[in-house]
Amino acid sequence: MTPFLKAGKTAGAVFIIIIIGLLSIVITLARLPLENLFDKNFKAQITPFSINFYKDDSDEVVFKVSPFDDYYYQSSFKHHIEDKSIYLQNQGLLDKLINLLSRMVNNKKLIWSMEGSKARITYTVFSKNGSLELVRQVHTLGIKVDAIGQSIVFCQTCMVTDEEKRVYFKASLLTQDKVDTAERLKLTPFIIENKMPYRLSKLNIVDLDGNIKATILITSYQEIFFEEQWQLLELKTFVNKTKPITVSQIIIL
Amino acid sequence: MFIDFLASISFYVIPYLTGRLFTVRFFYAYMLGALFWFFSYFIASYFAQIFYPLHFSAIIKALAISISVFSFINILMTTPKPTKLVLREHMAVFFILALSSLVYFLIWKNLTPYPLQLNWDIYEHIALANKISEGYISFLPSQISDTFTFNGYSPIFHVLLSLPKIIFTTNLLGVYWWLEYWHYMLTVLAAFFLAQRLFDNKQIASICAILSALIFESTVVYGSLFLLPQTLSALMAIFAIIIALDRKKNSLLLYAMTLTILFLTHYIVGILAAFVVGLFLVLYYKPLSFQAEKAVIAITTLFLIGAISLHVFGGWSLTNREEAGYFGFSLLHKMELFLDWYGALLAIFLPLGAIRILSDETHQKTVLIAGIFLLAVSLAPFSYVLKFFVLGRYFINAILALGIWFLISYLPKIGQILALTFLAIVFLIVFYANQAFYKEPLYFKGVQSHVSKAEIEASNWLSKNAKEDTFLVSDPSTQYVLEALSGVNTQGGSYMTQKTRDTLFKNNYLYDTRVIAQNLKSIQDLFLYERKKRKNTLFVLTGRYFAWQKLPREQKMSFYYNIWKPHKLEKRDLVYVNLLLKNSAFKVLYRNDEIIIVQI
Repeated sequence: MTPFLKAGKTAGAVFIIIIIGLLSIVITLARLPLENLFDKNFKAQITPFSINFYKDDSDEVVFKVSPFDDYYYQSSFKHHIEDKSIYLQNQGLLDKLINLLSRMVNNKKLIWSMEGSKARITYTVFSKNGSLELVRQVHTLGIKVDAIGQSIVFCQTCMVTDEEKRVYFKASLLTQDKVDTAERLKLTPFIIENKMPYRLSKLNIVDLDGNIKATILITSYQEIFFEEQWQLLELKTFVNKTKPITVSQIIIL
Repeated sequence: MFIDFLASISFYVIPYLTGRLFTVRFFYAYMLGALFWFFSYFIASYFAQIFYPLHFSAIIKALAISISVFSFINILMTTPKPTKLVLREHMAVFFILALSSLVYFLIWKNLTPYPLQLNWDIYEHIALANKISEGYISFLPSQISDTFTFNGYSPIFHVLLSLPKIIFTTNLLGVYWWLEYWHYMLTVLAAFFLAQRLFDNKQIASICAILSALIFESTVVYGSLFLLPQTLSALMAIFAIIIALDRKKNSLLLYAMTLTILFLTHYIVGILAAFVVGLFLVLYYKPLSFQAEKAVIAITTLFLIGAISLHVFGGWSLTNREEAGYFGFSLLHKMELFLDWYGALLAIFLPLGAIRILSDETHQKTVLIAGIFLLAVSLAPFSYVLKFFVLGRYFINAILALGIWFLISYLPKIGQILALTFLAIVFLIVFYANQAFYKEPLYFKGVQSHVSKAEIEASNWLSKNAKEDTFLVSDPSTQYVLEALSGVNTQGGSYMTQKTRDTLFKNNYLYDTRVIAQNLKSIQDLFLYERKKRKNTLFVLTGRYFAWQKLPREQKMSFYYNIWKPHKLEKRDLVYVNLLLKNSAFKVLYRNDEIIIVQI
């Protein structure tokens, strides 16, 4: 065999091995995406348009996060990070590979990236000692952003309370049933338009029996908005325009 | 855990020691011993009935211990001093076994600690082994327990499984946890030695062994990670072939015995396995000419093409069983499964391996004939046939290993090591994703398992406190698990009759406890002797039970739909239970957050 032919066969063998190996990984990631993060207290699951969070082994979604619910602010104007589903492209193979490798080394992390018409957003869920940290990295496409509204949409029959045992309702949506429920649970109804009081350190999502489903920790520089008609809580965080936008929230399930 | 570890070794050691009294050949000793115990159980059962106070399990225990001790002494006295085991010669094997153990415990059993399980089928096998250990033996499993509605094998596997239970008086769940590890290691060893015998090359054998360790057929087949009659039958067939390819003199009588055991272990896989073993034997002793071999390969390839082409006409169900419809896969579905198991590696390295076998006159062609034939059978458009890949996997992996070796042999030594390392990483990623995908739906309270610790605790309570005259009623999955783990009888486990399903369906959220009690008492075991024994009825309300009751009616009536993992009792379930218990004769005997056991 001439050296040239030998080198050719060697190169061919290397090429085939690498291509087949990479193709196998791609096929596996495409066909068997590991889109769940399991922790003793909760499960996070990637769906086409959101990440859903479940408490313990329940099948009921406690809350979800989505680019359709998150906001970006330009001065006082507020926009959804994405508002048209047809523009949304799901996460690439790299994120799936990172999710898989994280699982392999027992690193409790789940990544979900979306690209819309206005921004690219990556949600990273970290599991830490029974609580979760949800980090959003937002790359807006040529848009200057003053603040990010981190929204969570919580369970339909749930309510929002704080450490002062107040339960929040929107004035226009208040009913006698809700007042009775508050009384039964020994909570004080607190009527708001949509902006919550300052100096709250945490908010609880509770069910109709008063069980705490989730606790959201609040930092001092966040404004909180409550849209009861959509079961939505928004934590507005001001961002430094000169740096990449990364915001996070800690939630205990 | 340690007792179960020892008990699991006895599954292999006791038949071996028994057979060792008749032959020194390791594999044949095990086969002979298995056959011995199979027939001994019938004889012991007969004697236990004739000499009534004599207990069946006492007879077996005494026999097993005496034979084992006698055989062990015989080995010590008659075996010459063993030659030094030269570690260097067997480094590859030890390294692969060590690697496989890491894969098994760190990946496969990562969130499934002792004694939890990932194999759903074991509960019916444990239930049958429990019944056999009490002295109930028949050639037909359906005559021993109404959990078995189909006689796909003799109870030889369950006889062997009952041996550890009788001797160590232990629950088989923990024993099975260890048994599946041994089975996994044996499949890796079988792959290594088969490839070594076929190709006379340690490197190819090592690659084949690694493939065996890292390929998980996660649907129907379950070749290496699950111990079932079909996987055991396939494994024994491979060892029989390994011996057939050995240059030592082979005994036709011992082969005939082996083929009998393959058949008894699993009729369908066994017949196919016997055919493949026979093929190797015939072609080994009466080798075909080169041209004839190529003709056989061509015919087998046409058979493969024919099997695939039949999919054009649809699919066929081989039995009338309702679940058969769910086990008839389209060609596309089967190919998708192969992609999940092998990634893209099968598509390139299998043809390469086949070409290498055809082009090299020194290579065994039988492996190619067997591989193509079994692949054809597995891909055919009939229900259940994918099961035959449990045997085919060994040959396909051997050809695959040859194909990989063929390609990397063009590389320099360092390149070969790098290439193999890269491919091993690829296989590891494919394996990890595949097994994680299989296990994810079973996540419950921090572990992945079909059964929970609370269910095991409830079973332990039942086995200590429920008398022999107790009958348990619940949803199919709860019955299936509890009958196996506690030994308390149910109507059919998860294979309960349509009548029983209908009765439970009528009970759904019924509040009149007299009607509930009447309904539950009307559920009867199919065997007269069980019905005669029954005095107490326990109604077991579990998270699974309420989850099952929420299924649509057609799913409740089906064998195919089960509640595969444990569930907690929800608040609304507890509200219902509390309403039932109020002012009724129902008495709570045991409860935890998943299970409430009520006496009717």
